[in-house]
Order: sequence, then C-alpha cells, then structure tokens
Amino acid sequence: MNKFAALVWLTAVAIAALGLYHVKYQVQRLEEELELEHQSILQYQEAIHILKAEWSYLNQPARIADLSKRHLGLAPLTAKQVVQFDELPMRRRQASGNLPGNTLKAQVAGARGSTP
Amino acid sequence: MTTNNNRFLRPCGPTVYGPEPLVQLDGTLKQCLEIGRTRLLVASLVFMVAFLVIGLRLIDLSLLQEVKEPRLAAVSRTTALESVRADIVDRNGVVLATTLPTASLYANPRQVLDSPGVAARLATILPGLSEAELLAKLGSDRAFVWLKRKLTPRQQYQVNRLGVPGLYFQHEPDRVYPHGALTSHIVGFANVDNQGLAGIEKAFEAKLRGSTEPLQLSLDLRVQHILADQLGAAMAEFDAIGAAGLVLDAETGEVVAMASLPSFDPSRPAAQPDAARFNRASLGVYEMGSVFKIFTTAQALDQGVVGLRDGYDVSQPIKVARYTITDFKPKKRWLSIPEIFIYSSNIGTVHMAMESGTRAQQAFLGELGLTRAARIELPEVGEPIVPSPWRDINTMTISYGHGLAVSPLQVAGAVAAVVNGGELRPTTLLKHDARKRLIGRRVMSQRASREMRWLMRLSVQDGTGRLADAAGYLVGGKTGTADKLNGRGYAKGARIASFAGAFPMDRPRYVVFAMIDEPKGNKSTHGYATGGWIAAPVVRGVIERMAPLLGIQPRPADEAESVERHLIPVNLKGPVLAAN
Repeated sequence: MNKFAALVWLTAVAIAALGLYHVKYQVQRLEEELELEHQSILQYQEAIHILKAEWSYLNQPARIADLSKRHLGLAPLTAKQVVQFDELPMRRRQASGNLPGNTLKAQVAGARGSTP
Repeated sequence: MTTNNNRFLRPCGPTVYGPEPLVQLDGTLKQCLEIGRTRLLVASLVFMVAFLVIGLRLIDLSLLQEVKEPRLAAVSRTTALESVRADIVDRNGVVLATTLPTASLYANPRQVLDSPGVAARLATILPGLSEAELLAKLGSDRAFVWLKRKLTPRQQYQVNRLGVPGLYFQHEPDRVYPHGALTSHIVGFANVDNQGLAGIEKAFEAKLRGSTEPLQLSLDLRVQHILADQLGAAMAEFDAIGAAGLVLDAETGEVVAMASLPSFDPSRPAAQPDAARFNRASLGVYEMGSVFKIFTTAQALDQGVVGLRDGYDVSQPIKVARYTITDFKPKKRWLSIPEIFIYSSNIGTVHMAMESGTRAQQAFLGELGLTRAARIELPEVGEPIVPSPWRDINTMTISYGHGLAVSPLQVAGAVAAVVNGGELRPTTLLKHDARKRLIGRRVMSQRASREMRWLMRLSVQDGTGRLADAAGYLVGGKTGTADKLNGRGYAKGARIASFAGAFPMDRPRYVVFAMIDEPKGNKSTHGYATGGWIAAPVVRGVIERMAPLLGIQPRPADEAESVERHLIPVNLKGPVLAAN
C-alpha cells in the first residue's frame, strides 16, 4: 500500500517536473515570439506613420488640381450646376389642366399605390 | 489508548509491530504527548492555510488575470513613440506637420583608415560638404564627429554601400511639413533639434513635445489652397509685392484659412528672405481704407446717431486744419446713409463719425478689438498703431480707414462680429469642439447687425463691390483702398486694395477678407488699382470655389431675389433709394 502510494507520488512528481519543464520552455519560446511581434508592430506603426505623411504629401491640393486639369478636364462646380429638387420640371402628363403640384401629388400617390 | 493514537506515535517511538502496544503511557508523559500533538496540528494547519493561499494566488495569477496580459504590448508601444513630437493636422485630419525618423551620419575618425579617400568619396554623396571640410573632420583626433545631420534615404543607402569602417548612423526624428509653403505661416517651423521656432510649432511647443495626440487646427487645407491660389493669381496679374487673406467662420471665430504671400518653405526657413517669413495676415498692420466704413456705419446705426433714412449733403469737401477730405468719385449731392455706404463716400462717413463723437468711436473700435493686438494662438501678432492722442482729426480719418493701422486678422474678426448678430468671438486657430459653448461678447445690437448685413449686400449688388458678387451665394461686403504710408506722408501710387466680405448675407457662415499690397492697375481694370477692381474679384473667386466644398447651397436666382426682398426694406431699394 505504502509502496504503491510512493510510486504514485513519484510518478506524479516526474510528470509535474516534465510538464513544468515543457511549459517553461514553451513560455520562453512564446515570449520570444511576442517580442518579435512587438517589434514588427512597431515597424508597422512606423511604416504607417511614414505612409500617412506621404499620403498627405501626395494630396497637396495644388498637385491634385494640376492632375485633375491634365487628366480629367473637370472644373470647379458653379452655382448654376446645383439645382434643388423642387426646381426640377415635372414630367408633363397627357391630361390637361393639371397644375405641376397636382401632377406631383398624383405621381406620388400612384407610386405609393403600385408598390405593396 | 486507541490504535489511531498509536499509529500516530510510531514514527517518533521505537518501531513496534503487533496488535497490542507494548508501552502504555499515562500521567505527565501522556500530557506532554498531547501537547506535542496539538502543536503539530496547529503548525500543519498554519502551513496548509499558507499553501492554500499560495495556490489560490497562483490560480488567480495564471488563470483569472489573463485580461491584463496585453498591457505588455501597450507598454512597449508607448515607450517607442515617446520621443516623437505630436503631429499637427487640419480640421479634416490632413497631416500638416509630422515627425519622421531619419539617419544622421557621424564618424569615429580613429577607426577611419584612409581618410583622404573616404573624404573624396563622401563629398560626391553629400552635397554641401566640401572634400577639404570632410578631410578636416575625418583627420581629427576625436572619437566622435558629426558629418551630416538628417540624410535622405538615398544618401543613407549610398553611404552604406561604401562599406567604410568608422562611419555610423544615428537615428534622429526630423520634422516634416508635407504641405510646405501652403501652411508655413500658420504651422511655423522647428529647428534641427525639433524645437518650434515660429507659428503653431512655437506657440504649442510644450503641448506638442509632451504628447502623441495630434493637434487639430481649425484650418481647412482645401480652402487654404483656394485662398492662396486666388491671391497668388491676383498678385501675379497686378504685379503686387504681397497679398494676405483670411476665411473666418462667422459663428465660431475659427480661422478656416489664413494666407500670406509671398510664402516660404518651412524646411529651409533660413534660405528665404525675411519678407517671405513675415505673416501679413496676423503680424502686419495696415491702414485698411474704406473697409473701416463698415465699423463707422455700424457704430452710427447701433448707437442710433443716424437711421437708414437719414443722410448728408456730400457736395462740399470737408476742410480741417491743413487737410481736405474729398470723395474718390464725388456725387455732389445729398446722399442717404445706404448710398454713402455703397458709393463709399468719405465725406458722408466723416459726418457720421463726427456726429457720434471721438470718445464713442474710440470705445466702439475698442469693443470690436481693433485697438488691441488680435487674440490668436500665434506668436506673430501685430500690435495695432493707434493715434495718441486721439483727436477729432483722427476720428475723421479713422472713420474711412486712415490713421489707425490694424492687422487683417483684426478686421476679419470685427467684420464677423458685425454680421453674425453682433457678438465678438475671439479668433482661434484651434478646431472648435461642438460640445463646448461659444464664448463671446455682445458689441452691437441684433437690429444694427441686420441693417449692416443689408448694407453690405447692397454694396456688392449696386455699389463699389460689384465684382465680388458670386452668383447665388448672396455675398455682401465692402471695398477698401488705402494709400500706403511712406515715411511721414502718404505715397502716391502705392496702395493697399482690400475687400472684407461675408456670405450668405441672410445668415452669414463665413467672412472672407482679401488684401493686395501695392497692385498696379492694368487694362482689364481700366488702370484702377482699387479694392473694388483688384480685391473684390479675389473674394468672388474664393467664395465660388469654397462654397460647394463646404456644402453651402447656392440660391436659385428667383429665390435669391425673394431672400433679398426679405433682407432689404422695399422702400429703400432701387430708384427710390437714389431719389430719397
């Protein structure tokens, strides 16, 4: 009985020792890995930082304006190009005597009726 | 005695096997044993509790406190970024100033074997350093000598490729301004050791150094570009020596754009002439000319000295001492207050100011912040030139903008107060936090502010500021043309043309100010070099380009008219006005 207990304990101690050894080295390896990850995070952070500066540099308004002039043929928006919804002319209905406002109402009602 | 007790005793006593214990204990001996047993029990209990606590703590540390693990990453992160100076960004987060790592080259001359050869090869890589200079450095007896600070990546690569022993790199942060000359007067610049020497870099030195949180300005880079672009074009067209401009948020006092031309490259500030580093918008003070009629008229209306239906006879020039005050384009008749404003009559304005009085003018201009240096987060702020003593003759000339020199920033801030309902807010370069309350001081009544908005709109619609009218945006404003001071007198032909405007006039969102220094009139302006011909078109250009970007909806022609009718009392419009 006692011998058996001793054996059990000895085995347990051996297993624990092995386990501890294993875990210890695993932790050590993981910590090295973590350190490397930290380093690469820092490198990426620095790279992002530099890229942000470069992005800002490439977005110089004068440069964009020049590129747009050369490649897009776009011009600044003028007030005439902005129209409000109310100003849009209504599509003419065949039915005569309909005021524009009524036409809109009829269209809205029709649109509502047609969709479930 | 029980077996149990005997078994307990066995390890201490002689080894005894058998069913019956051979030794019977009693009396004092038994008592001693009992005491010993109790002590053992207590001791083991104490140890058990101790081990239990340690065990629990182990479980707690290894299993339950896992959440705290990532703290490691955060710690190493902050230590790495600590040496960095905080970025400066515009109101939309565009980087205006940042710190990038660069390499600086130094040598240990004791380790350099072939110094003449190394010096010759380095001189080809590093421009600005002569071979003799390098040789002197490499031939010295020291163990450390700087060769060049802050190399470009290409130079670093080339030096590395030489493979010369004794040359080393030191990593150093360097301040970089991606938008260069466009924002240099506001952002400022830092020296080789990254200490701010001008602008925001200097004003917020402690804050930038202490944190990694970017500093957000009120500036909008797009508007800044538009303003600088328009001013630059006008400067080139009219052969001017300089220009300044501002776009101010009329409600919050935020500076959305601030330009001063000519500008300079902040990465090489020493290479530029002093004139380029001078911030005309905040440091320069100028006599603004007729733009000041905004303040004179506002004062007269606010204090009830005149009403919109009053007027003055402007046919006679005013003679005071040895001065004669005349109009640029004399009308030679009675003019109503709106007419005096829109035709920019000096005589009428002087009458208005004299009726208010010198003391009242002094107080009102002081309230508008025109007699003290502007409040702004820049070290470069110009002190206004205020007449002392302030005599009646000064009151007369100041009423139309001569004799009191102020910075464009002060004018823009005061115009914002006049059009936004009468509240003066401190001008600021930092983005306004929408959750915070605006601070401001009432300087004039709502009613007078409304009347001024109408007068300014009228001046653009029918008066001297017609060229500033950006269709659909209800621009209002006032032109100004001032002769420049030359020593003790005024210089002929050297002028400052300016325009102070705001839009849209029914509820002004932005104040736009433009000033051109010494423009020369050309054919397109019929030889005129006045605010109405030179500065007003700049303001129109700025408004036309910035309004769509900032989401300000243009009014269709008919709606604009109805808004105007709302803005302008009908009986004071059109022919009635002239006949009044």
